[in-house]
Amino acid sequence: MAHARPTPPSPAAGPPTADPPIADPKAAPGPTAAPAAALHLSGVRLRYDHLLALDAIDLTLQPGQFVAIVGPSGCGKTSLLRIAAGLLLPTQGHVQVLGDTAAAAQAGKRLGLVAQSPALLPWRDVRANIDLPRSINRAAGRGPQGTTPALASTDALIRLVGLEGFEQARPHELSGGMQQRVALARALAVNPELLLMDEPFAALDEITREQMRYELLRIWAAAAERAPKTVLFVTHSVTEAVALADRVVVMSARPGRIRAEIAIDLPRPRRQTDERSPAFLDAVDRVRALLRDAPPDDAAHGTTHDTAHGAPDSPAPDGPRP
Amino acid sequence: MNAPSTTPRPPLRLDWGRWLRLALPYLLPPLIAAAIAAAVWEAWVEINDVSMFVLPPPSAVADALISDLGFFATEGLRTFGVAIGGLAIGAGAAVALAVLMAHSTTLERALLPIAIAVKVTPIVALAPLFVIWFGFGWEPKVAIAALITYFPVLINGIAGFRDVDPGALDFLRSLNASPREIFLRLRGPSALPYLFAALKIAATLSLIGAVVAEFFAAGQGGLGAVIDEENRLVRLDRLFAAIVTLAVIGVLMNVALALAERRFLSWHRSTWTPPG
Repeated sequence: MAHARPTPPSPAAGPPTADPPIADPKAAPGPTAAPAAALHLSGVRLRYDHLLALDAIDLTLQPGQFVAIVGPSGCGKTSLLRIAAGLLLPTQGHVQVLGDTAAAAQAGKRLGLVAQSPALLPWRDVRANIDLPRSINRAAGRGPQGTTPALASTDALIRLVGLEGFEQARPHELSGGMQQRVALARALAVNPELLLMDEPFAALDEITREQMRYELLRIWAAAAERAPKTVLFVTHSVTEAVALADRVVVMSARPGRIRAEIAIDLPRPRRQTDERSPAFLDAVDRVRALLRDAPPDDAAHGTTHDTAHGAPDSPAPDGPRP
Repeated sequence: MNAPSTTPRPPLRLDWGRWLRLALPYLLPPLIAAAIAAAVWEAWVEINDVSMFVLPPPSAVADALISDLGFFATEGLRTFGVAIGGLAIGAGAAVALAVLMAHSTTLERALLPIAIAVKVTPIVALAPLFVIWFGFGWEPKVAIAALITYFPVLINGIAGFRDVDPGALDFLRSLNASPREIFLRLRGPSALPYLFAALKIAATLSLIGAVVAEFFAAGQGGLGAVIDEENRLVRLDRLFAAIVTLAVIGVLMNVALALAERRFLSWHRSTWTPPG
């Protein structure tokens, strides 16, 4: 059953505040007992010259969670993901990735990045593209942190994403959906603990997109058998977010703020037929309602231009606009 | 018992029929075009009764060329040596500079004006100086050819090393790839289409540079010296024979580059046959 939970959420499942309750005798002894969050953002603010792209972002992902971020185009969701990947520094606020800094997560090769464009290397075939991350930053495999074993051999990864027979194909010989499968296998090649996905299916046709949704869930579940994989999934498709995620985070635009969060309690494994279930449709309605009721753009922030990373074809909320 | 099931390779020998079938679509159009141009030229000279001292007919040029083929081949080889030496040095230095400038806008701002200043300095002004600096051997000629070729390679190189897929760059950075790894895995290959385009321009420029150098820094012959000499003697058939030799060298250099491009850029859309 899905239920809406406005921000700030109840302490049980929402982002915990910075400090645990002091001296609770029944609490587990010592802070070391609690596993580090996969991603923890608090008070994150991002300002481009005249544009406040992100403001007051508090978000925590527990290990193994699948969290989707939905929001109108230009709400800064891509910027948020880039901050989590350590590719962008916030103007203000605190970022913790896998219990460490984002830079340390990069150095340990603990992140997997999949973007809207597959961004494969066109001169490499499928196999060599999937092998790419292993040949980069080899020192990470030797550090104390880098004891993570490889998820699987390249062959097993190719089987996992269903590309047997295409090992020698160059990216331009593949369809968009197949290219995204390669990008997913490439991201999984370092056995990352945190997968960061930025509208990976937005450029695909609708049939492929719906198919890839459940392929991703299957691959995620298979990859998580070795070690839990936390996913932060940015999308502008409400259906996609509800179908995939444990939690859907709804953002408002300009400045990008977290408006609310909805827990999706649909059982796993999920199937495409679940999309017709009342619980699913109810959750979709709740997310849609939150997007619709987004307050008008704050004129005080004087936004004259979009953020650089917004998808051009995102559905805009119906709220009044300046 | 049986041999392993490897696909049987055909015996390695040159199959002339197959080679000709493959090469004909490339050879026939330029040969026909050249033949038509020569025919029009020949007819023009014939009909208007143009003097040999104004414009020799192609038949006379062919005569001069064939009757002294060894001479033109030797002089052509000399010019080609200067051109290829200048191209190697000029393009090599340009690629090295482009790598530095692509990584640092400060360096680009500092060095690009100097590169432009050197580029716009007339070769005519520099040639006599080069002779004084480098002597009468091949050195000043190669220097002039290098000077004329570096610029397109530099400009295209800077653009090429920077024009990388931002998504691929993000991916490599998310793995903490070093600048060196990013260069080897991404920037270098991404720049190849730009560098090949520049090399095709630079190859023809290097021939012009070599000829101009042989013009001014006389000694040791070469087609530039031949052109200068025959011009003075008003032996226009031999003058044009030297020009034809030069053209053949230029075409062959571009064919070699095009073949290398097909080999190394098979992944790039520029090498795919465009639709009808």
